Amino acid sequence: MRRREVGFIILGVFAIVLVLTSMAAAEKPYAGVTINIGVLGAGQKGAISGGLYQWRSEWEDMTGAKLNIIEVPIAQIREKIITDLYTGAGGFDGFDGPVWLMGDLVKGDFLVPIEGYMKDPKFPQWNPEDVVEPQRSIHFWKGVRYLASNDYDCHTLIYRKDILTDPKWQAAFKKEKGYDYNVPPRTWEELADMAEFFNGKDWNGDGKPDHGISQSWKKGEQAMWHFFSLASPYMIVPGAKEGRVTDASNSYWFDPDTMRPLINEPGYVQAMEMAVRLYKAGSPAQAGWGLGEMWGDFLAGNAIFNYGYGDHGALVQEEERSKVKGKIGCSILPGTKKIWNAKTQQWIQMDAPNFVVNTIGPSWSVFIFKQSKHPEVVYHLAAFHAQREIHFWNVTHGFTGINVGTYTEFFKEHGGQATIDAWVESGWDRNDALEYEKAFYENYFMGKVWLPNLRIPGTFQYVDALDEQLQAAVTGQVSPKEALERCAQEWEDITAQLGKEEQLRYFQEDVGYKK
Amino acid sequence: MDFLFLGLPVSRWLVLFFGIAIIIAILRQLPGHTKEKHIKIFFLAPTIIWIVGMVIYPLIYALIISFQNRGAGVTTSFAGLDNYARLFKDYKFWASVRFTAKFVVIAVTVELGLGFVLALLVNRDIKAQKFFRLIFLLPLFTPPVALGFLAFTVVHESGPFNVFLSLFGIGPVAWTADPGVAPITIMLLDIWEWTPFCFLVILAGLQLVPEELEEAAYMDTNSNFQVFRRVTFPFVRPAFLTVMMLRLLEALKLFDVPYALTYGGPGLATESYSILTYKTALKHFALGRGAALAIMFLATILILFSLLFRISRFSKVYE
Repeated sequence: MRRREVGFIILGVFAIVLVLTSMAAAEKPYAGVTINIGVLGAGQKGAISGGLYQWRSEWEDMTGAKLNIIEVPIAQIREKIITDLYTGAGGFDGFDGPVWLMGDLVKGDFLVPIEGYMKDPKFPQWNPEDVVEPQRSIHFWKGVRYLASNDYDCHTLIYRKDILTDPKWQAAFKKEKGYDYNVPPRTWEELADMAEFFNGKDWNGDGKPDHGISQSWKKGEQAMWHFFSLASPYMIVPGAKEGRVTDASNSYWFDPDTMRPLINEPGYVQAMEMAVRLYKAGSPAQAGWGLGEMWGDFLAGNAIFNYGYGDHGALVQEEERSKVKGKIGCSILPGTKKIWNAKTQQWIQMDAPNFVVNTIGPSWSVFIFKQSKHPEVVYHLAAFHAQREIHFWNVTHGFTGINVGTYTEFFKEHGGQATIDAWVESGWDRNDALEYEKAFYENYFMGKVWLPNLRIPGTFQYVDALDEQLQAAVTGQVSPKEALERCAQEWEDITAQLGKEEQLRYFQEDVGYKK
Repeated sequence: MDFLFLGLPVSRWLVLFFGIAIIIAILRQLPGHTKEKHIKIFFLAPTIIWIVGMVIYPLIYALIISFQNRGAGVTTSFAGLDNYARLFKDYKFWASVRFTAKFVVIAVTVELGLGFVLALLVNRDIKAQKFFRLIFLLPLFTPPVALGFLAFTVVHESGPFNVFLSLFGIGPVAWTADPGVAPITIMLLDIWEWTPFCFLVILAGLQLVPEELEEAAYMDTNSNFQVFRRVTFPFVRPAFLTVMMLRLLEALKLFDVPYALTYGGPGLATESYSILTYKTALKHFALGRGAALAIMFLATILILFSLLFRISRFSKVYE
């Protein structure tokens, strides 16, 4: 064979190989890339991390990339991220983390905005307009979008509907307390009366006294967020449109003009006194309970009430550990009729309960770090999870810890696209699915006021300071007033340490306040 | 950006390396320098580098930042003695000092006492002596953090402790949720874990006591207590004092078990000094204040142990 012919054959083989590899690359655009994503350490079937593990192989097949999931205990998340970013160690390409870290990350200029990626058709497409309005702001800072749709936390109430609607118990309550209770209770005062009534009685027939309420008060967990939910109707005055912060009467955390902490205002003190009352209406071991133990008590059928993240409804469906499937009711958190106005320094008495649109919680979402060599791959992962089908699957499978937060996940009667059959097919009890969806709907659309999320630099320090005082108050080590006075002093110290003017500016940006 | 090696920037390792090399070069120029000295320096060099790099340098660095207002995202500025002064006004500081002091005094005393009693019992000529020694040593092999997490299931509201107590009509006890009981729970766990260590060291000391002396003393006094006081304890004292100092030092650094089990709660009931330091420096990133806490702790330990060494009288075996 002549040399020229051999040359042509070699070139031809080379061209074929080039075409084939290009096709493979087009199908798997990120082959050979590995990304390290941090996440809450809850295991392969645990909250938030479970969702990443669940879809890992499918995403890796689609992209050719490799996903390293690095689990971090909740108490260490902030320090791991901050240390990694400030030292430039480069351990994480991204983190499926809590939105309350946004201020810390924006301050250090560590985040990659995602608006540019969203318009590119090569990434999975998701609809940001589908996110319910009260939750949209968590993806932004000062008008720049940093996060894709993922988890949407809020606190709702869950209760034993079967017990509360039993005429026997209704009559006994009326005999003891002198009035008929509402199902669900509409004020915290009413809920406390009901919890106290049921606490210590054997209302589930197992021969042992049961609890009125199960709560998580363990230090270093999330007790402080539960308290913020409880306190919100006592402190946020209705009037401003769509949750806007206009002054101290509705900004909840700090005075938006002066950065003065509001945590020791009389409304908060009232709420702390309610917290102490509720603590006594449950197990004395609650001060040592994390979320798992709290849910465990309710799932085992030992508590009438529980409130917190929407995981509770989904966990009720897991028959391996739930004895209450088909027996629950869910609703928006109770309100209160007596509200403290931090601006006028006066109490306001209302005719109807002050319900709050609650968006408290970490609302875990994927932050993309500038230190990453492959930010587009991290965005691809985030966008993959934001897709409607993936999100809906996660929402209807409780172990993922992902909660309802898009309009399409509501039922058609509530303007969504979901059907009850889709939930039942996912393993939900029909009654429970209706109750669960109703609670989210009430939460997002029934509230008169919005509870803003706190995402400023040092958020963890502020809430940590409250965490300690909360425990001290509910276990009787200090009075509610003294606990909150101490907390306010610590908040002043933290603000001074981080720089008052700077913190004020970040707070105003966080809540969208303009003078 | 500087790359990290074993936690330190490479540039600092290079400074250390060349610093040592320069020192060696200077030493070589000294009159009367011999090959033997050169070999000694060569073998000592790794230890010196390690001590300088991992002990001396961090200590000096911590001392410097304890006088600064410093943290992640905070502009560094000189704070003078502010970080130290605020400690004495901080109720959390005093709460951690109180809890740590109570823990050290009670837990270490019980561990030493119980360890001594067990050692005396096992030191006798009894059946299955080796078996008892092994059983008493088992808790020593438990990692403290694992113990903290394991203890959570044991002290749970419906865990084995409360089930046992319910047989006598007691409880349920909120072992980690009651601020009066939680510190006791931490002490009990520590006593369970470290009594075997005290037992082991004291037993080793008891093995050195000459039997003939004890027998002769008993014949003279006819009192076991006098034999223990005049013969046994003086022989065991060096081992006893050694284990006491080791336990004191470890107990003062208490961290793992309360961190894993209660996170210092409820409230501040079980927040040890080490947990407070860790939270201040590495959770809240108030590095200056955290360094001040650490330096205070170091100063306290140095003073305490200087006093203990003075009164220990290690060299004397007999009264």
